[in-house]
Amino acid sequence: MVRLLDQLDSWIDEIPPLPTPQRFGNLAFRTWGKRLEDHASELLEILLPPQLKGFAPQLKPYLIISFGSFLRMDYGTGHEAAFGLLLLCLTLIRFFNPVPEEEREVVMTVFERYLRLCWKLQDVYKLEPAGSHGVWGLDDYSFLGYILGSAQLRDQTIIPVSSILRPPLPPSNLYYLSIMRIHQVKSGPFHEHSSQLHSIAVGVPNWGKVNSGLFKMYEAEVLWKRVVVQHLPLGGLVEWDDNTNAIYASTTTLGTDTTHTSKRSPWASHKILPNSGASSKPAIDGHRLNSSDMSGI
Amino acid sequence: MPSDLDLQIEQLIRCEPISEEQVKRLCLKAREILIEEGNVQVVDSPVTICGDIHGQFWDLMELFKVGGPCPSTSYLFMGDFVDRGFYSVETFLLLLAYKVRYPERITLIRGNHESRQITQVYGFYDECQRKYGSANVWRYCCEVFDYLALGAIVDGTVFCVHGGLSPNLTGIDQIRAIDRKQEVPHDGPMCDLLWSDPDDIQGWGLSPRGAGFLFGGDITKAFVHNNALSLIARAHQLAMEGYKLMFERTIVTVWSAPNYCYRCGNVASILELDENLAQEYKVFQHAPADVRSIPAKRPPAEYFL
Repeated sequence: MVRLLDQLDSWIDEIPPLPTPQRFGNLAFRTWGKRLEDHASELLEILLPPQLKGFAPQLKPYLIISFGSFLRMDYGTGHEAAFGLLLLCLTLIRFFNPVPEEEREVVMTVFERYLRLCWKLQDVYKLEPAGSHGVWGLDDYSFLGYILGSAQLRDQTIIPVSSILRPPLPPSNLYYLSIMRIHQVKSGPFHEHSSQLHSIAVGVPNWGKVNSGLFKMYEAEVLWKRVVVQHLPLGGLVEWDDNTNAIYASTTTLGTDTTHTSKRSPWASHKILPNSGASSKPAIDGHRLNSSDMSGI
Repeated sequence: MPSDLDLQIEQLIRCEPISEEQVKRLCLKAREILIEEGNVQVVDSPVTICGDIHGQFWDLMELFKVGGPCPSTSYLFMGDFVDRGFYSVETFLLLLAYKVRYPERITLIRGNHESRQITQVYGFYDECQRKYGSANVWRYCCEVFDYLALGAIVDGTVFCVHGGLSPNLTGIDQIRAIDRKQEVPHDGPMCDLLWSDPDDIQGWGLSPRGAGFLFGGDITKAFVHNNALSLIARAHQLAMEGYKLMFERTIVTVWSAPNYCYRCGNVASILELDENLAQEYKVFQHAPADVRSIPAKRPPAEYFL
């Protein structure tokens, strides 16, 4: 998985930003994105062992939206959530095993690699924050690093929560890493540009409460927000559940049940483009799954 | 009552919120004025056109330094007054107070953030809760949002809208037929006007935002031609240089929130149209630290209790 991310990273060096004046994001990001979309299946084929290669079509939709929107040239917690879902799917199919040692590696090696790759994409191609909550959110671009990082610090009391107010911080956990990233890219006093993080550092007594609070905040402000999840492709390994009105993963049908019908989320309705020549076939947003795409099993 | 309003304006200019009762009365008065405005409000030049503010109050003060104070300068704000910044309350209420005090000197049109749904995600709702202890002020403001015009037209030839065009609207007259006094719908022409983006494509495209559409240079030029316009001015998208002209200067994005999210390093701009509709773009930066008040430090959110 890290090799896959390393390869995506190497493409950045091969696709430098265009020198021509842009509105904000650099159009070269679309070239990088096209390369990802063109090679995604191939990358997944290389990644997956023979008995799991059939799942590649179900993983591809998450992979190609994990790094931002190539059209809008932005990146946000929705894209990060897609990467989270990719890791979830890789666990569901047992590419990763849900045992502590492996899960630790997924966080500390794979997720950190992903984070650094995203930072490089943001810097090189000047990606806009997608749907940032501004001073009312945790971070303009990401969230999971804080959840995972606070979990890394959860079971100790030597390093206090307020320690993040005294940079520089060593890269010893994802929380510190994320805070130092903010110092690198934002200007002005910390309590002003990152007031949520500041108030957590000042007001929350221990890392356990930080961690549990961030879980609740993530649910409320990312997963439960239509504006974010409307862009997540569902159906197949991860489905929309009409009953509980929550997203859950189907753990029982690992490729053996061919009668399993995929369920699309309520907002995955077909939008017909005006003046589109092929009006008999609805135009689908390129980021969404079509049920016919998921016949890989 | 004018003198009361003048005091409120003085208070808001110091970035101090007014009382809930004052907000209620201000919003009622504003609605009485806005209800008389058309969906496409008619505006005379000279006028200074502004883009997204997003609660960046001190940067709005910079804007007034660069463009001149209201009411000596006539202004047109193209929406997105709230969300993301620290001071959506003070920003919106100041602009509203100006509107009530000098209705002919300032025009406010609706952005996609002037919506109940969006403000519950992006901060304005939270800010109202923090500053007033209840959702009342938020409700009063959302009711005003419903009355804001959808667009404006300067001297009959410069069409101003927050987002962009709609496949369902080829003529400005069709915009006038919309019933705008409602929450921004999820789709349809009213939604498109507030959500669409110009893009380097031919024809229409699905918007990656999940609302509105992308529209190309051909669509833009056709709309300009068919409606005898000289320019479409819009906002809605960040611009590194504060503004961005496209499609042979038939459409311009004006963005008025400098150093967006404290990291983008962009400048902001305003578009000054003189009485001959000659365009001048004035660019400005984030307000220096010494003129900004320090936002009150807050306790952590409820999630952590």
